[in-house]
Amino acid sequence: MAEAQVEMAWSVIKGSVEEWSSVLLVLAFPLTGFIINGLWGRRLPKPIVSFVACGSIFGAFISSLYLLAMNLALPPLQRSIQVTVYPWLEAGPVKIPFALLLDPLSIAMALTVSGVSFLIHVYSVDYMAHDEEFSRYFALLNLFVFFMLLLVLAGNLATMFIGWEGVGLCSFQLISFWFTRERAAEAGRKAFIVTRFGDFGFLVATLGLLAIFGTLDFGDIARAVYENEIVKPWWGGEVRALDALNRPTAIGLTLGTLICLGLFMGAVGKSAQFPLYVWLPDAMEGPTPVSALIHAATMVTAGVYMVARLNFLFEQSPIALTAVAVIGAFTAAYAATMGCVENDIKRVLAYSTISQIGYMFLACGLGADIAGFYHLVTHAFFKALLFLCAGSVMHAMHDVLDIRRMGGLAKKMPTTALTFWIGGLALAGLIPSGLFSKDAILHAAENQKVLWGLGLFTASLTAFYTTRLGVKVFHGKPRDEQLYEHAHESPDKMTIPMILLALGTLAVSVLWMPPFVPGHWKVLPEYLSPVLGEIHEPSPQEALQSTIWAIGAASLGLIVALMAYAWRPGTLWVFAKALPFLYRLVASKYFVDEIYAAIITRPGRRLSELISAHFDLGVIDATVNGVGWLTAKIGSAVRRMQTGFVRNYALYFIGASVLLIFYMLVRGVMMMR
Amino acid sequence: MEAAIPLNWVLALSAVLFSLGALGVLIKRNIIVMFMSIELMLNAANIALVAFSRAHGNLDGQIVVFFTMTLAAAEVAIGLAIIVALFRIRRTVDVDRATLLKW
Repeated sequence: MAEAQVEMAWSVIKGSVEEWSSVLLVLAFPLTGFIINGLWGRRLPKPIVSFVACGSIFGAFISSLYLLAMNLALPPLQRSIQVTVYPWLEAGPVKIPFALLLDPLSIAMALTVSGVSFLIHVYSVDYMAHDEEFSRYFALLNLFVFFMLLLVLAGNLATMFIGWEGVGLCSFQLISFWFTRERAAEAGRKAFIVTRFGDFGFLVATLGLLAIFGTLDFGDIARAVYENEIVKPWWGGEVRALDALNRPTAIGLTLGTLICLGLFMGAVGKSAQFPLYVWLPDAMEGPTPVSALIHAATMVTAGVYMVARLNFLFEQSPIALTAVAVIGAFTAAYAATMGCVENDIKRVLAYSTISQIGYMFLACGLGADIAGFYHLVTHAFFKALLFLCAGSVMHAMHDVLDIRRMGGLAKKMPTTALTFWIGGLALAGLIPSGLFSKDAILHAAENQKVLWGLGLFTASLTAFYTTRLGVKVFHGKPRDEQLYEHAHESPDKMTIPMILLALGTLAVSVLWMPPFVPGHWKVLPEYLSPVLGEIHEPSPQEALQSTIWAIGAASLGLIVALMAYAWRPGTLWVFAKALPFLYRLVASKYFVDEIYAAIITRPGRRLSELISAHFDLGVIDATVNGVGWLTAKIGSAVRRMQTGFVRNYALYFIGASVLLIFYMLVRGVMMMR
Repeated sequence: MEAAIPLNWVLALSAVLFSLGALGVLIKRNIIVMFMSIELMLNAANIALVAFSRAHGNLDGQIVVFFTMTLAAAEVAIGLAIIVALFRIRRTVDVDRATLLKW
């Protein structure tokens, strides 16, 4: 496998900005939207604000399509082009340009991001129609997409870091969009601080790479690794790249492993994996389309994208790859269990996102980056769809989120119910495209029985909680008659994006079909393989077997949920009563928030209070005040010189002149000697 | 040219005039007299400049004198305006009566 990869080594060609200027359009559109709406949005009428916001994202989407067309016109092995926009940081031998990378991976991702974001923008127009801060909302939404596209199209880690931090900033702003609500403000802070924690690892790893390779360009690092070039690391001398990465460190892991783990730490924070997932469920305080954006197109997929982007680096460290796979598989199962007992419609979806992102990391950790990326794309569609459905339900239910108060809504909102089931079944892995992408991951995991088992277990749980959610919200008897009476289907501007996303969910399955499906299309893997390595296509029998396992696991969850919630509601309380401890543990989210509060937040706050009382007041404030006090004292001592008599001033003046002349005379005489 | 006055004499005259001017600024209370003393100082400097110009045999010093004279004219315009303004407010030309701007 190693030799095969060297042959297929990913290589990047440098291209000129003039030739690839349309990539700047992809970024310029959302940024312009942000500037227009951010500066003048308050004075513009709402239709113009929404036109600018949606139009700019649509422009980015069209530009991405154009890029794809340009890219497809090139021969497969020359499709990775680095465009240096301008030299950014240059210090001695270190040159960090502001560079963009156009390759199959970034273009496919940019298309997904801009396409899904566009539909979410259109949906938002009606969803947020009555909000006073309409223009601020859309300005931030555009900025969010801009930073995500910058992250995706970045040609080096430094440029990526701008986008990386930018999406963190925008998520903070948008989660706490209704900042007058204490909980929203807190959720925004939590998201920002928790992801910042992971970003620390990302930054340290970035600096480590810079200190070893002297460059942060993806293409240059990849070439150095593949061809084992001579590099000049910080400890001096000239060594081979692989030797530098394999350099042992004090804690027993190699340098390369530490760097990969640092990068992965950033991904864990941004993509809400265990143990830094805690911000994502709270992030539901933001407007629902924002949740859709965060979960589907921007933000959480950034971590997966980054790991796939740097697969050439992760491949060098089996330990880091294992860590990625294990954390991914564990998070997938762990988050799914919490999804099963959650009663808040949006939080169920939040846990399902954490769980599905776990699948993607599992795939990346197993070296099946293409499968992971495929799941990222399909997930972007069905998760955006599910959130938009949830928003539609909230709209109808007057912002009630508790699924225990819903029920029977399918009669009132047939479009929402239908699209929800399409998204839900795709999420459960029972219909394409979710079926195909999840299956590709499970197939890749087949040789690692533990991870495979966790994956299947998660597939069951996913089907279970999705069905539970769907049944409780849309079927059965209405539990709250009053709410049910007022429920109504959402307006067209909201349902059309939902329908389009539902169609998209089904349509993206043509990107990669398992071998037993007639036609056996595999557009996506063929397009991506120059970047992410060849896929190992199983034989149709093997693939069918794997799919049967996956469908079986999912069906099990589906059937249990149907039995427990549709056929005989309340059946599962038997389990809850039989295992009260377990139920409480899961329902309280494993007390992780409480544990973090006890070991990090509260000691941290106490430390901050101590520092504020002693260091801030005693040292910093004392110094500042002391300088002021001293100045005032000197001033009051010398102000007597200002007598107000003009002749006094003249005396000072003439006296000083005489002294100066005297000094110069003396010095002149001394020098003459 | 034969009966040229020695440079030092002229410089001594200039120094004496300058010191008298400075003394006048320092000890006089009448602002008009102070003002005249300042003119005296300026012209003492002019004498020194002209003397040096002659001693060195070039015109640099004399050119500076023209600048000084222009400056003195401007100074007179502004200075007299200030004196008139002061007199209108205080009804006096005694600078010791105008000491508000202190401490």
